Amino acid sequence: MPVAMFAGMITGILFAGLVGLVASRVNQRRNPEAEDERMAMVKAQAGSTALRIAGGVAFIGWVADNLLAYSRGEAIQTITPWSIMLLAIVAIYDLSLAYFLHQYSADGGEEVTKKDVASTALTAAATLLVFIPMIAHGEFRGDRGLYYVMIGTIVLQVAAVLWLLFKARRSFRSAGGGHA
Amino acid sequence: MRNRIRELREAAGLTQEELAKRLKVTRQTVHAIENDKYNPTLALAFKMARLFQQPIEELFIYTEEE
Repeated sequence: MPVAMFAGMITGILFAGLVGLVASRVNQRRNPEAEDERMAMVKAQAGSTALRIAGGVAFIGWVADNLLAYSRGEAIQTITPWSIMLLAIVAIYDLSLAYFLHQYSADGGEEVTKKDVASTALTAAATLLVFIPMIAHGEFRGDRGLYYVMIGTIVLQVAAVLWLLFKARRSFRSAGGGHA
Repeated sequence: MRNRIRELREAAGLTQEELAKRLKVTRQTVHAIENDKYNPTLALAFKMARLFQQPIEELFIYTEEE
């Protein structure tokens, strides 16, 4: 992997974390009650779900990568830097997605459209920056299979977030603005 | 678990927002409790009981089938 690409990925991951942190702090300052006991529970559930999804996707990615490597006559690797990177990236994505899903199931469209969409969307957008060096590069040398798995993961997750946003917005509107 | 939070809140003339502020939780948490989507912790349940000046078992009704 070229050094610039690796540096781009690391910078992207760090930047995504930083943006997520800033968004969370801003939200907390605007609404000090946002971190109540139920929200803490939702976050814990989201973390647990994200870990399971990330583990599952990373395993599938690792198997797919090795199957493709095997079909090309290359040696099978038990663990590669890409596997670790994939796990880290998928975990970041899944954390925001799982948080969104748990919050949606706990509150319906109200909560997510009122204040947490911004931080979720910002985190997702910042995480996308991780992939810019890869996309600019065109393909992974010798790891094209994994590239497709990762692109597939991004497309599915972006589609899921858009679908949830659409549903949440519709539910928010039908609830007459969300105020009781 | 069922509860009478909505009934008591309305009787006290409070909005969800006002009750949430007094309990130091989000309005969404009040909404979730009223709709039986979330069972509060014991601490929050006692806080509610104190606020409405009712015994805790008057606020939360445990149903056997659960």
